[in-house]
Amino acid sequence: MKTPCEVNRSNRKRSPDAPGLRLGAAQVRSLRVRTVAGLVLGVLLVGATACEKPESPAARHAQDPEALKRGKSLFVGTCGAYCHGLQPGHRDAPYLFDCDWKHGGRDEEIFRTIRAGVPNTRMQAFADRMPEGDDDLWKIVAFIRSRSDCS
Amino acid sequence: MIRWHGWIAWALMAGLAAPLGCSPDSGTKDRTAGGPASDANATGSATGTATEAPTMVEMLDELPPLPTHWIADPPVAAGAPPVDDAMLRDPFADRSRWLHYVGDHRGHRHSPITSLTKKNVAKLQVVWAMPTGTQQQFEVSPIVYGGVMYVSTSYNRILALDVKTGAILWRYDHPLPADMKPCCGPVNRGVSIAGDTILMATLDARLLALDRRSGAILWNTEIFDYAKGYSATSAPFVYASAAGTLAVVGVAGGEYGIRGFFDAYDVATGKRVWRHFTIPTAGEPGIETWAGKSYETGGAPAWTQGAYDAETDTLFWTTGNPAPDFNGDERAGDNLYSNALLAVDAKTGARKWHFQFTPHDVWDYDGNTQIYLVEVELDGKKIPAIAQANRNGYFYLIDRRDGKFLRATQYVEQMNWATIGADGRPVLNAGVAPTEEPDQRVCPGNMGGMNGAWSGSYDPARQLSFIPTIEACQHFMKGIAVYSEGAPFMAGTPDTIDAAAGKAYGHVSAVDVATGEIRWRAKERFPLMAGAVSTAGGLVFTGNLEGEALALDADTGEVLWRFRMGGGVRSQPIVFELGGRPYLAIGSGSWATTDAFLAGLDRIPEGGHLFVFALPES
Repeated sequence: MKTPCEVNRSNRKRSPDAPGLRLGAAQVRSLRVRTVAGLVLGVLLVGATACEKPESPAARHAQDPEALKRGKSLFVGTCGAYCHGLQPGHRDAPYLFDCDWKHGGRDEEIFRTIRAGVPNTRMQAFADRMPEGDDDLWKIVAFIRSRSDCS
Repeated sequence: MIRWHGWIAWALMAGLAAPLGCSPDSGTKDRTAGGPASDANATGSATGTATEAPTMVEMLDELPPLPTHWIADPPVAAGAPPVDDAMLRDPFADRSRWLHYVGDHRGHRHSPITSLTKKNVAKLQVVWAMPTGTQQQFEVSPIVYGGVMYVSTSYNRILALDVKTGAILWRYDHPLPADMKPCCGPVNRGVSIAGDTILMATLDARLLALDRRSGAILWNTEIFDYAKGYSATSAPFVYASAAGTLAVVGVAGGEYGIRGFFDAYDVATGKRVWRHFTIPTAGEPGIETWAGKSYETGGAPAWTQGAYDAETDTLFWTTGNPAPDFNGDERAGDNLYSNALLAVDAKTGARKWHFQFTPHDVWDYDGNTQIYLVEVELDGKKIPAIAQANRNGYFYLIDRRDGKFLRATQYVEQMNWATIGADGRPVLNAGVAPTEEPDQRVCPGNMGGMNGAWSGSYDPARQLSFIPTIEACQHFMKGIAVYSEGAPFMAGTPDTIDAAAGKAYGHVSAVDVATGEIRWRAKERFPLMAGAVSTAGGLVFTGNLEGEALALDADTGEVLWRFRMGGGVRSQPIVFELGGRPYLAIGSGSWATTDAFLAGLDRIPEGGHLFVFALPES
């Protein structure tokens, strides 16, 4: 069995969008130096943060049918209406069940995105908006995970 | 410390620390936020120099902002007089004009022109075309006056075009906030005209007045705070009353838990003359139809157009769904005045009477499809009435003197949610309410039937109403209702099972308004979501989602002409004459989201295009 850490990493099909920049030669050299340093740092950070907490509250909710049911009803009620569809296809907002994440695919990142929203988009912050607060957001994360097809 | 900060930023940029996720600013268009690159440059990195080529972010910062407004200088059509009250009342006295979204104050969308006939209609040819430059659905009904065609597009762009050549005369692109709150796409259905003023209601809930001759902005007023879930998508409805020439505009937002209303503005000044709330507040009659405090977020938007009866100085307006859409548990009661027809004093906005089509709606059956003022003979008596093909699948006839229910007949082919009792109240069939695990196929689906997003037409001589119709039944899935200001408040979602199974289809149906019977149906492979216009020459024009403009025989429904414009048709066609030569204008360009949602059709690219046709010059 995979650890939650491994599950989360394998769920990530591609990296988040990096800002698209066209760089001059000097910057490319500069980039190379900084990239190596960044690589080291990035790996260190990944190791430190991704595996620090073996289980998110979503992983716990994933074992609880009642929690998943509530997560689904919350999703259907607010997220899934006209924005994020339950089926793939053209919708007004990204399809969330294909493990292809724009703002990070770890439980904590999904939670944070729902909580804080996405600036300059119609994705608003849902911190303190659900009847049972953060716990409801974790149930939504658990429901998304339970329904996701990462193949 | 600063150096380290830069390194972290570069690691993020290189995507190497991807599991950390994007910083809150990444992937956004906020040019003012200090990006990682500029941060590193400013502090002098290990190899950085002052002569480094600018980054794309910096280059974008140096570009001048894109223009959004092109004024006509000198002004155009200056020789045409201001559009006065007489013109607004009798818009077809001059057939070179199309002045109202719904054709005239009676809402008929029926032109008296006879130069276009069943015999010559197949000779229509394109005289000019114009791209909108915008994606998603292009739902406009153009306005034609003084040799100029005024066209609005998705994202609130206005194009003023030479009606004969299509040459662009002025243009305005309304700046819209990224967090605007449209229900269903960045749609606008048209501008209106009065005096020397072009009026447009916007997705960020503003009402704008522009000089019809130059495009200069005359006034720009906020209807309501858009961030709370309000928007406006329809052309304002313009009429002259004792209170002056007024523009009435209602708000959308039934999916955001707004408190609906429609407003009348003085066209000359932009000052609001009255506001009519579509949901009562504490102490007002009708409040007993909402459990608890549910009226505070009850929706009942007023996002379409109305009709005006000058004889009684009455404005008729209609309302949409109660909120949340698909879960009525917390709003027990009829939820007045959602899904209703309202008669108000045109001067003051005071309500005279109401009729509610779908009390306590949980299917999103907005009661605000187009209304037609008609004269019918029932049981030997002539009655001034209002006819409407409601989104719930029934064609209603209501006495327009007092709101009395006269008759409802089914105009969709598939119907199972309710029958209509003798008092006009629906009697629900078992198992049609949304559930968490729905297995009952409910007809019509949440979009109709017909939908307020497009117009039908009414031919008074034939007493036929032409209704572009969706047949796409659904499962209605219920969710938990959580109101969060500015977020969708729908508490469920429709599952368009027919579209997914390739079973969704459409038709134009001709309803005999005197009897309620279906005279003919013209079937289409996919649901119809475009408006219609009919002519005294016996023609009906509309378009289909496959991208064809269509001309039908008004007496038989036979398709007499088709033209492949390309994009799915979601617009409201108009007809007019220039020097006796008949013209047809119709927009092409749909939104893949609704096409897929309702029709299972998502392969046609988006992008609006206006086509103008005419008969060859003789």
